[in-house]
Amino acid sequence: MHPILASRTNLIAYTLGWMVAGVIFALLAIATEESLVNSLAFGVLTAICAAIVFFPLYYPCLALKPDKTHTAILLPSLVALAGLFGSIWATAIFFALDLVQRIRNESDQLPSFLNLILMGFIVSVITEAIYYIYISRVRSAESEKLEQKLRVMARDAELRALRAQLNPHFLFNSLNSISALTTANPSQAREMCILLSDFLRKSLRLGEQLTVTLSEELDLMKNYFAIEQIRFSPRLSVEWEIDLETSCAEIPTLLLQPLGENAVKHGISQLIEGGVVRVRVETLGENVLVQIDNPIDPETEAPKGLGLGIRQVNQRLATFFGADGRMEINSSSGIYRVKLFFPMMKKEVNDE
Amino acid sequence: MNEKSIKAIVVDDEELARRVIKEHLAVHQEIDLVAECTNGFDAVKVINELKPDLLFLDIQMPKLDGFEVMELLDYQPAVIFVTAYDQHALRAFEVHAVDYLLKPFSSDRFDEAISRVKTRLGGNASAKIIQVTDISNIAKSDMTLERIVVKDGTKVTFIPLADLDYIQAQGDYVLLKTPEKGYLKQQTLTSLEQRLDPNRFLRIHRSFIIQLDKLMRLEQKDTESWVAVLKRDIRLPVSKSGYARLKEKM
Repeated sequence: MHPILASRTNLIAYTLGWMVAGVIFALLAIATEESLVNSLAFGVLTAICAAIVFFPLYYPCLALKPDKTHTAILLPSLVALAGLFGSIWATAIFFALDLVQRIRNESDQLPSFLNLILMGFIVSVITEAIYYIYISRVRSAESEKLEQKLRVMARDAELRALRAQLNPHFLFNSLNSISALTTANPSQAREMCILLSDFLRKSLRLGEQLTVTLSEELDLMKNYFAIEQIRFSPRLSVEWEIDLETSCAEIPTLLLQPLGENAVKHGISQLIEGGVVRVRVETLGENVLVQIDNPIDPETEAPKGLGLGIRQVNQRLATFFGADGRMEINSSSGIYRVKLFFPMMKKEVNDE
Repeated sequence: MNEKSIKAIVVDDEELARRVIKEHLAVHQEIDLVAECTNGFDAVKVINELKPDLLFLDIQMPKLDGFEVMELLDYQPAVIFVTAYDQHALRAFEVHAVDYLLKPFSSDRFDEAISRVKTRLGGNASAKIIQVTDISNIAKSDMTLERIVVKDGTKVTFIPLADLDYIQAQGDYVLLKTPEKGYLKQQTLTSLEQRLDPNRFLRIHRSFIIQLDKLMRLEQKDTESWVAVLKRDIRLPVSKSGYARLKEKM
């Protein structure tokens, strides 16, 4: 809907604007030594015609986006539009004045048509300018709103990721493994305690930052898998293939951790024999590819769609990297594969 | 009762978790651990074969979860659920579990569970004799089903809910009808209905629940009765109240 009709404020502003313009036209007419009555009539007519004629000029202004249209097209288009609308306006006034004179049965000299067209051109240009100012204000308000929404979404995802971090299943199962090991294998029980403490400490520390380096994130994941390997003993093995070039790539905190947990929860723990989780990180030109493969049980693979964890990873990827970050998932012949692509941005590391 | 009077089986996919239970059991001479199972399939087979009195049952396991295992047993042993997290506690008591141990647990807590088992088994022994034919009847859904497990002899089949056309009551059984075939399961239609997502499944008749996605159209037979026509021209009767529920959904 045309914004002038969409809000009462805009309609009032539009009407007032043309009333002011009408007064100016009337004053101009007085300056050319017209009679007061004629000048007033001229002012009223020009304002009414303008309000009607320039109303649709908004649409071409909306369509011709200054930031997306080449100047060589934009400027001539605007000039042509100003000429067109100015001429229509001038013609309308010319006939209106003529009509008024005939009704009043007078035959004063009409203003020159050329002058009217010139005036119309100037008024058109001013109107275009005002429309553009209006449009840019609306757009910036919209983009600010969008930005704010993105910020809120990012923080939201952050919080949820942190909460997921304190995965109760993982914690209690780990504690239960420790409890089992205390009598059977005390040194391994101690090792598990240390691994679990390291893991918790790391997650807490990473949780304070918005972004981390890929190597920090992978360290946490290694720690996580080390714990799960004790819990699942021979059922879980992990293979790493990591391109060291990527180690200082910047990613949102705890982006990968949910993928590691998924591989265990929906993959390994559902398999009697367990299997191998493969984590591969490589550079692809300017991009980084992170690929995590885990075996799944084809028989009991429930059509669950994307789990909450995976959806969150995707969302955070998109929020942080925009269109450059993407995720691919496929599942075939018993292997579930998640691929993340994102641009390599080096994170400044302070060694303090 | 002789000294070793309670036959027990431990079902858990984690070796360490089984080890804890075995250790705690060592002081209970009266309990005879006859088998260990590492997944739901094995558990169903071994339990139905050895008929233990007591089960230590993990909930999250490969193949079948603890609740699904219980559904597929031919009889009702005393069950102690052993799990890491209490999200299933409510459901565990609804299926008449004797106790619910949260990992990790102390030996005192374990002994307490064992004495509960003895009370249940010893007392008037009613708990052991009662055949709970319909476990899910009491399992008010703390989560809706994603699949249904049925047992045909020794073979366990998973029926993804998406495959179902309709479910029909047949005495003590329900007939689960997919495009390929029908499966019988010992359960009542009402108890199954309670565990199904009401946005996907609807009771259209005393004896029929349909999957709404499969419904093509409704035909009126006479003033008081309608026929639901599903894909592949399956025609099922719709009762008056069923019609009202359908109307509400559409």
